[in-house]
Amino acid sequence: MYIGDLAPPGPRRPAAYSGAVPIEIAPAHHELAEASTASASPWLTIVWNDPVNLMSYVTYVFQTYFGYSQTRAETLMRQVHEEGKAVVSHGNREKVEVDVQAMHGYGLWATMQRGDE
Amino acid sequence: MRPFAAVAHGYRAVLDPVERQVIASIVAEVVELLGATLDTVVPDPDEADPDGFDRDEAGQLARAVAPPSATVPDDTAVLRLLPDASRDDPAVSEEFRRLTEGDLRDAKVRRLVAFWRLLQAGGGAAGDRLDLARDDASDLAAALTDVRLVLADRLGLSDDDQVEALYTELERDEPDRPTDPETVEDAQRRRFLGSVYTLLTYLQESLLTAMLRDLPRDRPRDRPGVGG
Repeated sequence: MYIGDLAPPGPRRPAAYSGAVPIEIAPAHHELAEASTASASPWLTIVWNDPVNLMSYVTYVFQTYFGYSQTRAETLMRQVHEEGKAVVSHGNREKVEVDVQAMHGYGLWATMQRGDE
Repeated sequence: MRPFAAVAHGYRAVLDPVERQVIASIVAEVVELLGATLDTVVPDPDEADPDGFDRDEAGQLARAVAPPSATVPDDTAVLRLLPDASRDDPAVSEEFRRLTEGDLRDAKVRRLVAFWRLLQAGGGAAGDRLDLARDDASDLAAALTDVRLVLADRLGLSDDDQVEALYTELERDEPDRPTDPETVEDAQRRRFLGSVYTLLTYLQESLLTAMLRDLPRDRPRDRPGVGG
């Protein structure tokens, strides 16, 4: 039994990697409110929903990596789960790269983008 | 299998030898998918001097993992472990991959090898107990995630409904028995991988439940809708 023998289930996950979905940030979101008042062109770290990562694990990562309170971590986790994505941090490009790398290290599906797009 | 629960110095689960062997073989395959070979990273316990088991681990690991490349992985499972950092800007993704992919691969391989070793540590006086130090719990949770992400890719689980369908499928005592040998083999493989996925999900959920209990909780007045 070798999992590598199984044909991957398609060329690419269509919804996940099409790049065709326009990214909208909910204006009411706490992070965006902060980002819009920050210095020019801050970058955003976005975590996307996936069917594998457990809600408990995502909450744990947000609490321990970002140092968010339990309430804030759970709110962001629910936003990821219910709305498909959430902005979890922002800052200059280098800071957001570090955050995205950390999220990938944890197995969360994260991307970065300019906050003014 | 008994799920993880908190004990004095960390967390403990119980896994019988067959469960350990099955999980360890899958963990080893994920290590291979990431470009490392378990044999070159971890000395064979039968041949290695027990005192020297850990020697030169970092050096061996550095040689075992493929050098960082800026090419997007062909395998969808590897791509999920090392995803593009931008949805719409290939230049951002390319630079991110060039800067971070080597480190990410190394970190993932190290955690998977630690998981593999933990699975080998059972037996003898420890019995079937799987004892995890509190400081190692986050690494194991991440390794469990990576293994589950690869299994989910192979099982074609790309949304919650497909996960539910898998669970329903696995609960059936008498699965459909196709006659075509290839289909039979595929169905058996799917059932096997699905069972491992379910087992690892249960293990991870129990571990995270215990880990979250050890984190500081918000005071009641910080929680919306509670108190005044």
